[in-house]
Amino acid sequence: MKVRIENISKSEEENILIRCYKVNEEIREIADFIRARDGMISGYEEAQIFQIALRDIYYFEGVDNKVYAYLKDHVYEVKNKLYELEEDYHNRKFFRCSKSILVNLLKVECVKPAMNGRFTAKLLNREEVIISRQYVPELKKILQI
Amino acid sequence: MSLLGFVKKNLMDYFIIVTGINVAIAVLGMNFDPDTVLGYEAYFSPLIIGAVAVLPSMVLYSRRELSVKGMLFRRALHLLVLELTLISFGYVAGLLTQWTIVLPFVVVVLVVYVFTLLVHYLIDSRTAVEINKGLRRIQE
Repeated sequence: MKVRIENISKSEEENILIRCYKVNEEIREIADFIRARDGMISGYEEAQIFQIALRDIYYFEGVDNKVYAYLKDHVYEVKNKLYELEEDYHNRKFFRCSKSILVNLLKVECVKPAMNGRFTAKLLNREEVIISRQYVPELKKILQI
Repeated sequence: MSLLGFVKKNLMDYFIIVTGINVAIAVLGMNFDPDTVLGYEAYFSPLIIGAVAVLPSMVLYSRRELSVKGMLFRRALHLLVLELTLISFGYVAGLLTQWTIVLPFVVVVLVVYVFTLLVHYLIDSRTAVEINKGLRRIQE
């Protein structure tokens, strides 16, 4: 596959065009990567693909080898692994709060103590997720406490 | 929780428990045995009882994250094992010489247990306040 980069003037809108014979998994991965750089991610629901803005995602959860993105009142499956999402979006304030959950810190309303050194994060959509004790030092580091 | 993290937490628990035992010995002694005069060696007893009291904490250890139900069950089991351990130790060490002081002893252990949980809760509440301030900062 040929890769061509063209310099344009500032008056023009930047865009990426992929010209291919068929939209296969490889092309989708490239497109997903570009969208992710732009704050978008592909979400799947009943064989349909939706483009979701990262800012709308409350948390990602890994369940039985699948990863789901939870929005205010909607859930989509995403094809990325949880550790990939953690690596890609840590600078977008996504924080690994337990083994199976990556929470968007911008969607956390407040944090309160739970049992045995754990904390509960109450989200803006009234859902609650657990912050494990082992991840609390990392959270403090992110928040510069 | 890692084993190292668990040991660190129990070390902290140990010092909180020792403080609680000091208060408990003072309160129990004043009410049940006010005339006894203690020597310097008495200062070791809270340290020894504290060490015995920390041992049943192994019941709470788990490498994987426990559910809330699982944690509640472990807490109840821990309290039961703790009471039995301390009663046994009390008899062996000659601290519990009469049946009449077993019930107050059990109650005092429960009070120290709740005291330890309360101290942890207060520390965690303070951490939560700091985290919430940090969250407000990054959300602005």
